[in-house]
Amino acid sequence: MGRDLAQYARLTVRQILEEPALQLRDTPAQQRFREDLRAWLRQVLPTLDPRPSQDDWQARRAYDSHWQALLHRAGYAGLNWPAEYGGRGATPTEHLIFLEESELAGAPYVGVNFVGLLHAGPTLIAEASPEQRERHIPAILRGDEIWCQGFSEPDAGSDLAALGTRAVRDGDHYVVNGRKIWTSHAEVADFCELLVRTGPADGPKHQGITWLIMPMGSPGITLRPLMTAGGSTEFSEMILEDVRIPVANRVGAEGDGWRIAMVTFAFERGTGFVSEVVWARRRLIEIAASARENATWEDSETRRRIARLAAEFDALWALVKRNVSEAEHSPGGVPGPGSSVFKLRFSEARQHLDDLHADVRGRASLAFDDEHGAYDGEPAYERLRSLAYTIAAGTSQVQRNIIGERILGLPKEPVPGGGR
Amino acid sequence: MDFRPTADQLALAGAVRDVLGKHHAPGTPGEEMPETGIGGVDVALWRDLADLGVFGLRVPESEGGLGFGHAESVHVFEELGRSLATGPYTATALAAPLLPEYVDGRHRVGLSDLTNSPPYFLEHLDALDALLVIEGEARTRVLRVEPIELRADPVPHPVDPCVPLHRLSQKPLRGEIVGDASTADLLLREGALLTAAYQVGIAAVMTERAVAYAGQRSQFGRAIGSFQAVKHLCADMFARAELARAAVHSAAVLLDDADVPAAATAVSTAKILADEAAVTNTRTAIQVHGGMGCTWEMGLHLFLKRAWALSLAYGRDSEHADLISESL
Repeated sequence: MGRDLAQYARLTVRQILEEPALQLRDTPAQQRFREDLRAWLRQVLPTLDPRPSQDDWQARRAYDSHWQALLHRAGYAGLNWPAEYGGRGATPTEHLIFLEESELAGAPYVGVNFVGLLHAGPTLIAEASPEQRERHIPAILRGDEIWCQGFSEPDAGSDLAALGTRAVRDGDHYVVNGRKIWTSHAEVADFCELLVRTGPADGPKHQGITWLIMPMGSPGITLRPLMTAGGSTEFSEMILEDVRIPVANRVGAEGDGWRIAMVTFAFERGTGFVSEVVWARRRLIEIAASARENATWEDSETRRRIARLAAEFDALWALVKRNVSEAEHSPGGVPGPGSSVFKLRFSEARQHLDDLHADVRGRASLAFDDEHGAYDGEPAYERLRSLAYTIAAGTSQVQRNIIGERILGLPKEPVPGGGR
Repeated sequence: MDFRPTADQLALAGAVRDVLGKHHAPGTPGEEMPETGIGGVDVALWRDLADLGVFGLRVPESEGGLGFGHAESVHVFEELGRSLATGPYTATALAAPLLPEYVDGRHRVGLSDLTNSPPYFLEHLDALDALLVIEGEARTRVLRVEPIELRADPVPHPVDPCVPLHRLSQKPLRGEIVGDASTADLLLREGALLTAAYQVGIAAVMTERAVAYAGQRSQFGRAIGSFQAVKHLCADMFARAELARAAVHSAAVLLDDADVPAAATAVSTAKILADEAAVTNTRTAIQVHGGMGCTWEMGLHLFLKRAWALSLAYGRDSEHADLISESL
């Protein structure tokens, strides 16, 4: 038996040599993609204006839309979207290269286009009618149309399916009443991907949810900005009073909204934080440099904390590559549940990073650094901002439930009284 | 770029797992400790794995090996860790590409780094045919020493009952020089990688055992794995093992690419994450098993004892952290 296996192992050597499969290096096509992108970034980034203040929403919209238009003209908009919808049809690996190189070059983030490009757009491609796609997808890709997300509610957070915003049919309109929360970029958005309850309030909670396209100019929408612990106004609460939305704006069937909404969640976990790993690894180099300057580096405990975090982020980058390889070979390129492992460990490591930075800075961490100006990158602000990392896009506790139940196959926790 | 295991790697891992499955595995619940023979080595298992070619894995085909790389070796060592295979597997696999007479696994080779501080414990000494010794002020030389010429006394009560230890009472007086500082460096780096792979195996099998137990053990009228308090322990175990495995595979590929600075950092990364995954997952598996987890018969203690010992082999956490910090 052993001999046969040894024979087999020898036979496979030749295949291994001919086709080196487990490789970190780019293929020639990937290398060309990377070099073209680098050249383009080198040429276009110096032409950008300075980034606007984080609280100036109109200026932020203008800045982010301009960047999206540049990407669109260069053929980098909707990189991983199918070519028939105006995307580039790039592979997940090319997408990863794009995120890596953009971050290394210091290119702008997706900004106010986040929901349109990462949530609403992919959902419309998968589920919308030809008219709806035609109306919205090219505009999202060009950066002409900004979207926000109306999913969470004050009483429906991790238990999103318990949402209670009502939509009642009135002729060829839905009349919507309710409250939404954590609505990013609502101030400048043109449309909102809105989840509403069309079924009975006491029916099965995952049924009776409907996905609507809500124009943000509709009468009856009131925005109340929520200030974060870091002092920025990233989110709003959105109050909806008798907002009339045409039935033609419904995506998919009435009552099918939960399934439609779930389509995009895996994407968010799979690639949503990828460029941040690159950012974190670079930040660590800066922290090491500061530590050398102020002599906290002499403390072996601090030095080793920095090193262990570098190890954590390097391992996370290796995990991203593996997840992307798996997505590339899965039907539809949907990231697998391994993305929950990444989200769980990255979000916690990110908080350790900001705490470590504060420890190296000592009492300097008690004041916002005026030289940084805006919020982005300011260490005290980032430390406060990262509080949300273990909460947004599925809390760490929800991720652990996903890993425990969907990957490891452990039984679900019984719901008291049977639930609904 | 394709970061998934190849069909060949999976086949190789499967072949090793098949062989391991035909032999007793320490730590199997309810089984007596087997008589393992001289020096704590299961000789029949050793021979079967040698027949499979695991020791000549990275030796070119022209020299009687399989011509694979580290990317394949780590799959083999993860399997060894899963079964808690006991013996000088790592050192013998390290010696084979260096000294062709060890390719077929007929000899057992140990390795000891005498530049560390004492005590100097030698594992499986009675089963060794040769011992490689790293010495010199700054790890400048690799010596091959005849085990019979060593002055060493058996340690009466080693913590890990599967691995017999001898305490070296005098550094070897003579030996054949088989390598210089760069050889020593390479042996320690490759040893750290294989040890990390073995630790990933421990971390993964501990996750599986904890999950199986949590799914089957019932308290308060339901499987304890349905409680989030227990489920989340299992989820964290899975995350630790997965992340450590990604780090190990990445380091293996960089070592195969001979990208020395990147590989050095990556191996240290892998060792840090894998040690932590093995030790913490073993502790957590014991916690999930409740009182039974602490018993001898459940066998989990053997994984913990091995994970502790391997955490100190081929560079402990703080040494690897110091290596990484030099690159920052």
